[in-house]
Amino acid sequence: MMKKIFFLAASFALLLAATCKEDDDFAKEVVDMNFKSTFGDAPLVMYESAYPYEAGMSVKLQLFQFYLSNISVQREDGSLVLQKDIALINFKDILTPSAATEGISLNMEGLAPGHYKAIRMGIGVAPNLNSTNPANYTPPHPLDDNYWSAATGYVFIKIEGNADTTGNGQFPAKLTFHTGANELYKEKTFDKHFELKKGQTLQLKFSVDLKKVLSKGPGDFLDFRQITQDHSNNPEVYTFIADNLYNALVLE
Amino acid sequence: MASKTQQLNLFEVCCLLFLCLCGGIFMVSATRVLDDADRKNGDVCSPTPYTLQEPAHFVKMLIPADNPLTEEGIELGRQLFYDPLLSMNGAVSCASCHLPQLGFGDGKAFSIGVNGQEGPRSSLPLANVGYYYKGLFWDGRSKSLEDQALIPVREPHEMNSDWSLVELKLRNHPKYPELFRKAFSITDRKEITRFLVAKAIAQFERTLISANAKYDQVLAGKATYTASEERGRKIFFDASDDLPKSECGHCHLDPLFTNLDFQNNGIQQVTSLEDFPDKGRGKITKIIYDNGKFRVPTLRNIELTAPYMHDGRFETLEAVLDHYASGGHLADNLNPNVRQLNFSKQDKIDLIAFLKTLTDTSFVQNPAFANPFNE
Ligand code: HEC
Ligand code: HEC
Repeated sequence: MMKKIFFLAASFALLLAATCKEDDDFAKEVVDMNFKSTFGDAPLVMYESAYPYEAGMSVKLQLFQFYLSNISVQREDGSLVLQKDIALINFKDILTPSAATEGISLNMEGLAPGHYKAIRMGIGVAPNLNSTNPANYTPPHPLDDNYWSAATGYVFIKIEGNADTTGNGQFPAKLTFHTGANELYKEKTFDKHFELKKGQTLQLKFSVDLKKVLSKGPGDFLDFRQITQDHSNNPEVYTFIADNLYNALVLE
Repeated sequence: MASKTQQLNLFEVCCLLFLCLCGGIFMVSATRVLDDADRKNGDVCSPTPYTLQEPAHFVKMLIPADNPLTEEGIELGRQLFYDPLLSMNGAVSCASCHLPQLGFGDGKAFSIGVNGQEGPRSSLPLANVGYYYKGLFWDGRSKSLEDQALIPVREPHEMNSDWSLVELKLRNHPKYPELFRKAFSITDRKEITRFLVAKAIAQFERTLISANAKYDQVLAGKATYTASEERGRKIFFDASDDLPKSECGHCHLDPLFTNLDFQNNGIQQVTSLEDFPDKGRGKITKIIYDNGKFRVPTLRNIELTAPYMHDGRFETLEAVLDHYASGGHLADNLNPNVRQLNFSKQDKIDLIAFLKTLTDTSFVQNPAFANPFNE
């Protein structure tokens, strides 16, 4: 009888050993960093929606993406816990208002339960990664694409779409803004006190207003009647975009 | 008493079996079991692992764990690729539409299968196809080379055959059972299936790497561009503020000369997104904004793969450049990187000179990729 129990126990122990990985996952803490984009107050939806812009113009979008580097969480004592060295936030597949409300989730696991006071991340590709290239990676990887060999670096931000510059409901102006360069990389701290409880999934809601990336207001905006394209050729344009994105990305 | 012991033993045996099963699943691979069986027959047969020479300037190739490259697998794949046995009438092989001397394309606007049947699209060149991890075909409908290889055999306009028939032919073939045994350690010819055929062909296709064109040699410092090629390169990559821009590099991203994405490059005039004669990516995703999008094709060996586009509508590279210079036909999903360009005659000559530096003769003439039945 003892033998019988021993064999039964051994069998179950083995089964448990084989499945315990899943048990671990079950109890893991998750920080869900959620990113939503808007154009002004409206959810940002690719292709379909036309958004009022400055000076009577309207725009439609096909692509809005940017890299984030060194995504870290800051403990109460000020020390940083690195969660992800690189991520590409890409809104190109947001095709409906409901997808826009859902946003894009970046899940981070393995953060110890406890109190935290901020999130810190770089907007763009950090210089140490910007000196690598797709040959350093096995796809799929955020850095397997968007490499501009002529500039030996990654395109940090891409905005593509169309503009109606005359108000006639046609969108013939083609917009392509591709921004990237080491000097545009900047880290930003988002202050936020939170407690991650054991086994909890905590959501942090980030949002970015694309209109604010293109325009600082009626007197200071990218005027699509004059400029429809910049591939990091004109410092006035690309620093404008990079600075604006830095400010437009906020944590609710 | 005796019966009780027996009962206990039976239970122990069951538990032991259960333990073995668990152990079997988590520790011992199926191949090992086959190896043991082989060893018992005094007939050891394990394929020789093959290390792919991956170009240093390429991304790394994604190779499925359940189909590692082996010398025997690749050789079997090559034989199958060139063997018309796979087709209904024994006249069409994969190589009928993927000819090495044409960069593994077929030089036709629409490919022609058994009995002269014309297919709906132009053939695709297979150079570097092992890197196409975002989907195969012009519309990305096939996830892997293993999946893809199952398709042509049963396509009416390609090989128009039946897999059960092909399996039967291979099992009863004088040569193939031995090749399959060497490549996949099978012990019985009944184990020859379509899936092993697909695995072998996929292995062969992963070796079809083209990375030794003049373009690559210049990168490696082993060659230099002519003045015209260098000027064309700068135009292609928008690398100089003093030269006209071409925007080509956004989609035909080096070093594969494709970013593997699906785009509408404006070749088709339509009044609405519903009107594309070939909906391309949209037919697969059912997303209207994907209608008329096709996977950006590579420009490697482009000199050898005319006519151009998914429907072979352009005969020459000059015609392709004229299309792009026009800015393409407007549509809600026309990619904004396709915009009016101001090319002079010389700009076009130089761009084409650069495109021709992507021709890799050592690739198209590589004896390892050639028809084994001609040897
Ligand atoms: C009748 C001509 C024909 C035959 C025979 C044929 N192909 Fe193709 N192949 C094509 C065409 C046409 C396409 C593009 C079709 C599409 O995208 O819808 C293609 C596409 C492919 C692709 C996708 C390449 C890419 O870049 O995504 C692969 C891989 C391929 N073929 C391999 C094979 C193999 C392996 C065989 C034999 C089992 C074979 N083909 C037989 C015509 C042919
Ligand atoms: C917006 C992305 C995009 C841009 C920019 C672009 N292409 Fe293309 N290219 C494509 C797509 C997509 C196709 C396939 C379209 C189809 O067949 O429907 C293609 C097809 C081609 C082909 C035919 C390839 C073949 O195998 O049939 C050539 C040649 C080509 N492009 C050259 C160029 C050149 C030169 C430029 C710059 C002047 C350029 N492309 C700019 C996306 C682009």
